[in-house]
Amino acid sequence: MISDVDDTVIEDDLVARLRAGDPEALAAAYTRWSDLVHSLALRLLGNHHDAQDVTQQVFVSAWHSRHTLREDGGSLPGWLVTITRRRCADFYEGRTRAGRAQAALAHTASLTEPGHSDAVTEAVVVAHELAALGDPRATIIRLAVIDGHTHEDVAQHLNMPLGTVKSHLRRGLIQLRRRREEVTT
Amino acid sequence: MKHIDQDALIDIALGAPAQDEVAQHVADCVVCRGEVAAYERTLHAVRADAPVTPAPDAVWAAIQREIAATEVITPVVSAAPGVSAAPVVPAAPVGSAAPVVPAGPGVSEPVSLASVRARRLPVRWLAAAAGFGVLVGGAGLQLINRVAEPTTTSVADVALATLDTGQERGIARLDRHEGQLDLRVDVEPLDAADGYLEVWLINSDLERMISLGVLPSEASERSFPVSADLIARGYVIVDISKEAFDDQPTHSGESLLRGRLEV
Repeated sequence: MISDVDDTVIEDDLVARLRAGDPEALAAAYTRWSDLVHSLALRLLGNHHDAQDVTQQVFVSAWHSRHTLREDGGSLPGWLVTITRRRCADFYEGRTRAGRAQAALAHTASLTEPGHSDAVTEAVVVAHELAALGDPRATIIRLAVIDGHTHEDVAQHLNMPLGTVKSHLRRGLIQLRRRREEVTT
Repeated sequence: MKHIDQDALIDIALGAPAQDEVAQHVADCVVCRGEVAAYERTLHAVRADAPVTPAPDAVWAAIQREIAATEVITPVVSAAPGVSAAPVVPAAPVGSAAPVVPAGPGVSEPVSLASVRARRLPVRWLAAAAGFGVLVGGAGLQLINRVAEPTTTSVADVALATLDTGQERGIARLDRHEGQLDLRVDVEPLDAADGYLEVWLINSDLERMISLGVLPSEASERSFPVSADLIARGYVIVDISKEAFDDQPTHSGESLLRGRLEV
């Protein structure tokens, strides 16, 4: 499991190397964030083929515009998510212009409702970060928040002290909140 | 009253009952209420339980191909004297073979720099390079000092030899002339059969290569502008291949001559 502090240090290092043009840093960023980019594109576009295209475009584009990273003080995943959403929006326009939007119309309509795209983005970012938290923290949050078990039940189920369960829950939620805010503010 | 500490705010967002005075403070305090709302919004996103779907491995391979195809274009084009207005062909979408129309024998103009693009080496070609005994290693940093000299100088030269017998059939020379690097290739007549001859610079990593252009069969000598950046990046192996008119922009795998510049 990666602690909050370690994660920040790793990300700072990654950003510095990426800006310097180190291809290994792009590979590392891909390893850490491609699931997020792909999952978000898949939710926003609704099909696997387009989601893969967008994922490819996002990382190629990130490489070519790496000098703009952190100019706004934003985070690496926040930057990638912004590029992803922009690329998905471009994809919509392209599909609409090409008149191939029939199948995607219902999907598109729901996504163009104000706020819906934001909610989808937040949900995917948080789900991805939850998986990255690792165990036991991720499992504790799943059991307590998604499945709705009491903290006592979770503690008993995982054979852990109640205080440990609560501590994981709080630290995990702080980290999830930080990630969510990176992509929405 | 002081603001409520973070852990207590999280517990409230999680639905835990709070003491009366804590609940009262949160109700009255815009800062603490905002904190609770931020955690509630996070919890709402967690409960959405969005699926996380990894991208297939092929996506990363495609990213690497696309970046490799665009990385080396800029230094080459910027190094070309007098052709700064030459159009730069954008990176070919992955999976689509970019049509590069080579200038064939009898065409007096050299192939446009716009057709210069990175190539992935065919597997067959890699095997040949390994057999040739090309050493993989960094090269070219000393070049930075050399290109700073004001006069026309020979930076490096190498004999171009056949791969199978090692017979020397020509020479490649890297010259610095008026701030530009030129690769001068001078070879004995080579048999291109019904195809044409193409000059390449292969990276010492044996992973990447770029086409410098076509060597007309009637010409024994020709210069190609290259950039110091390109050489510094390790594109130091000069290769002359026999290509067919098959609309395949990649190296045919049939190398006639080769030599490695020591810079």
